[in-house]
Amino acid sequence: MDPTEHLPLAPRDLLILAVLAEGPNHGYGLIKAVEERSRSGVLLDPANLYRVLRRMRALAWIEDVADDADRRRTHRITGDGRRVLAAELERLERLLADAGPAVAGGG
Amino acid sequence: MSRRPPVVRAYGWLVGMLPPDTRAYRRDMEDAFAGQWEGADGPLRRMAVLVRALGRFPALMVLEWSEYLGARPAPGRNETTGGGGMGMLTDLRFALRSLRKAPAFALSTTGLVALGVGAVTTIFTLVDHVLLRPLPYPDQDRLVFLGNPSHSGPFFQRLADVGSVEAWAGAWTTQSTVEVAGEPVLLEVAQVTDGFLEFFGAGAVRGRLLESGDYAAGDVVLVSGTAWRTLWGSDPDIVGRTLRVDGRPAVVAGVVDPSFQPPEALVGDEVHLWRPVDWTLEAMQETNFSVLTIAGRARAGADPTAVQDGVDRLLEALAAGDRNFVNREGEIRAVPVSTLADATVQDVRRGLGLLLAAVGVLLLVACANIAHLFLARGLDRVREMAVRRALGAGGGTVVRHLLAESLVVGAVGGVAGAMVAALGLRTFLSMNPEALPRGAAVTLDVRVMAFALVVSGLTAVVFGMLPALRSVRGELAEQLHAGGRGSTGSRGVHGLRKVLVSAEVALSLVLIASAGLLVRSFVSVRAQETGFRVEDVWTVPLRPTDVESPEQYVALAGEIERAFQGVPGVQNVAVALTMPMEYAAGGRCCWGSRATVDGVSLDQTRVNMHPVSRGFVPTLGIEVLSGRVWSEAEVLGSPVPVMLNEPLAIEAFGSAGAATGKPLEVGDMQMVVVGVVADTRHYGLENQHGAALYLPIEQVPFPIPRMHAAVHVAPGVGRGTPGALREAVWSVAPGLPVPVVRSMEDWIVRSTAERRFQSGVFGAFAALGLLLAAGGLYGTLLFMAGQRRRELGIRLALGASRGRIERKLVVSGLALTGVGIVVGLGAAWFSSRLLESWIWGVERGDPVTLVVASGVLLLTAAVASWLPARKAGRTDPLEALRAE
Repeated sequence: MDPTEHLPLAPRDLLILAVLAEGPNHGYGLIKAVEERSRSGVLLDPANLYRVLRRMRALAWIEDVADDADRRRTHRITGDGRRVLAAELERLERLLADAGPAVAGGG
Repeated sequence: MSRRPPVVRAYGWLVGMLPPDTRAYRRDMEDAFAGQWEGADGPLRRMAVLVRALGRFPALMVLEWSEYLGARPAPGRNETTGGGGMGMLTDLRFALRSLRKAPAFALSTTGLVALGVGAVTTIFTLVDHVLLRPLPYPDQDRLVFLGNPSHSGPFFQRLADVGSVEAWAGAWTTQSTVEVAGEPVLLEVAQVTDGFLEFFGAGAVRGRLLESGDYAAGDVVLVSGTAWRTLWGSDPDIVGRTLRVDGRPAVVAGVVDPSFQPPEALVGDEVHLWRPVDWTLEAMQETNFSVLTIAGRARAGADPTAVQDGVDRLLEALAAGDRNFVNREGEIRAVPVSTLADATVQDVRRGLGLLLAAVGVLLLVACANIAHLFLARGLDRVREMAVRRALGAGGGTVVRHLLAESLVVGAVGGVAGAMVAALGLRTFLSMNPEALPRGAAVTLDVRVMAFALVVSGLTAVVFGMLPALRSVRGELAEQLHAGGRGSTGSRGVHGLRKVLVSAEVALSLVLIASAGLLVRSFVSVRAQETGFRVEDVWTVPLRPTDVESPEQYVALAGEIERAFQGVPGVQNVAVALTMPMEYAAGGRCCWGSRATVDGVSLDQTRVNMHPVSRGFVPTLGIEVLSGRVWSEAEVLGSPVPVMLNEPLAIEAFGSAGAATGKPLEVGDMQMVVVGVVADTRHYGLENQHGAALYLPIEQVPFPIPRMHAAVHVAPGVGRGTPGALREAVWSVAPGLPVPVVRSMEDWIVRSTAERRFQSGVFGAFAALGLLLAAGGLYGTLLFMAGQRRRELGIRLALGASRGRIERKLVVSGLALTGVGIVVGLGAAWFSSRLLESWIWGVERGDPVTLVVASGVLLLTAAVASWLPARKAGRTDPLEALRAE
């Protein structure tokens, strides 16, 4: 898989992957975590969240954790997912680095 | 698992309408939403959560379904549909695309479907729940109720002889004072016969139910689930505790299951304590002490008629030896048997039926409008359809495309309708929770929603198809030629549109006239003269459940009167058995008898007897027509000094002036008339008081657990009064509950609350109907003008004035309205018959109401016609001609 072919990621996807990179989480936990760290105002509603999660699962960026004790479905990031996340972060950093001096000079 | 809030359940239901391959995620979506909902603090946050979740839902629904059906490429979808569905998929894709191109049409049709489905579902859910659902008791279809309305202990015991019934249950509902957390609280107590709770399938969540042994001891109570939660904070150690019920100890033996709904026809909708009925009470062995409400369970195969036969035979046997089973005319007192279900809902049946009829009319108007919109769109597209057929599309394909469009509108409108219904139901219940039996347990019903959806979906399909079918049948070449000008076929459809508009107007008129009659009734009830002072009067209803003798009762009345006189700002104090408006909702508490004048019985007249203190007349400012109030020295006098109300004075003595000083016998009391007062509306604004007299409360011959005190305060003192009066009661009777201190204004508002509710609901329906009819008229005229654009253009070019053209269109709009009004007037006159029992102080064919309703419609129609007419008048002749 070439992680760069999916870039750039939508802010929402980036945030979901970033939250999952810190550990498996379930739906409501994801919504809360994304809202907490989203200063750009990415707000999720449950139905759309699951639409995104399903797409990511089909792309094998995330997978389900089998957990019978807690009937809730818990999601975990996969190797592919981490690679896509890393690629996107790298892209953003490069972008910032390129844009940084110009902004600093103009300001 | 615990019960989720209705919003979360509604969301879960919506999620359930997503395509089947999302099934694995539905629970999680619902859980996540529940987390958001419960995690949001404050109503504003919750609103935001709701708006976000629901706002994106319709778009998501369309996306998901179109991906699922293959109409869009779908990343991450594993399942594909079979090849057989491909034709339908194309249709659906086509429908979505063409609806997107006509957003106004798509929005208004789905909005109408949503409105119709939502309104009907709300009302029908209520009706279904209250009238049609079985009672939540074992063998509920075999339960019967004995009317008339309560019965004596010996009668209950003899009921065992009725062979067609296998078990009986009886209850005597009373009120008792119980000290809870240091405060006296007035509780509803149901004294029940052995096996009552088991009869209705109740269980205990703590401790046990009543046992046969409890009936001998009698010092045992059960706490209801609700009382346990609200009064004792679900205290787990309540079983075994001793309560003081009216001062006597009683041990809590158990807590009844909170999910148990007490049988309302027998014990009312709220019971706090259940106790064994006290058979040792002497009165319980008397056949004239009728306090038990009774239900029975018929044997399998026995219907209420069989039970009625058995009860009648028993009554015959009893009447032979006991005058208490015979009425004044020497006939056996009837005990009508009905099913328990009928007895539970009989009061609201009529009201809900009317609401259902009204909302049905509204649904018809909405459907007529949906039909309009589809017809208009169909006509616009005759040419498009013809082109597509010319290019080789089969007639079937064209029809299928239109069908798909109708179905999409129906489905999306249905989802929105579900939301409207969920909201509507909550609003309805919060507006009027007490008027509905079993109201607390109402939830949305999917079957009902399906019913409404089918009705409006069918409308969309039928009227969506009509133009398509015409198009398929018609001559291709002609249609291609005729274009937007309208062909023979479209003229037929146009006639249909006119009929629809007239029908809408007629139906709206029915709604408006009904609302008008109800509003006028409300207004005339509120305008009714009370005959007593309303401003600056506060009253305190009391239930002294532990008075045991007339002396105690009179002493308590005196103490409360003196205590109230000490409250700052109080000008007059009255203590009485009942106060005006207390029984506005029904009942004729508590004392009445027949009067005899000069040895001649006034046999048609039952005299209502009101024991009152001397302060009653001045406190309530009732006008004294002749004579005076009895003096302090006379209160214990014999014959008893009384004041008559004017109707009784006229009936007994011919006039108010002639009555004063005359003797009178009521029941077995000898009385002398000392004064006559003006008539009052004691039993509610809409009820005649009838013949009544006031006698000194000091002469009450029995102890009775009811008393009602009132004060007249100086203007502007009102604010601190309730607290001061409560304290005053407790200063003389520390154990007496004071449930409310209420202003007389409040009593009056409450007595008319139901009328206000009826007027409000019908008013809202009427406003919606009017709006829809106006919309239909507007659309039709706009369309008519569009069809005749070319003709109008030519006329304008030839020098016709704009005003003339505008007038012509407005007149044709008003003509359609006029036809509708004529039909509607007839329908309104007939339908007002159904409203008869709700109307007060207005004739049911009230001409003012009908004229005003017609006027409102005509005025609305004039505006709705003038707008498109103005547009037509501004047609640029050149442009109109060029467009062809």
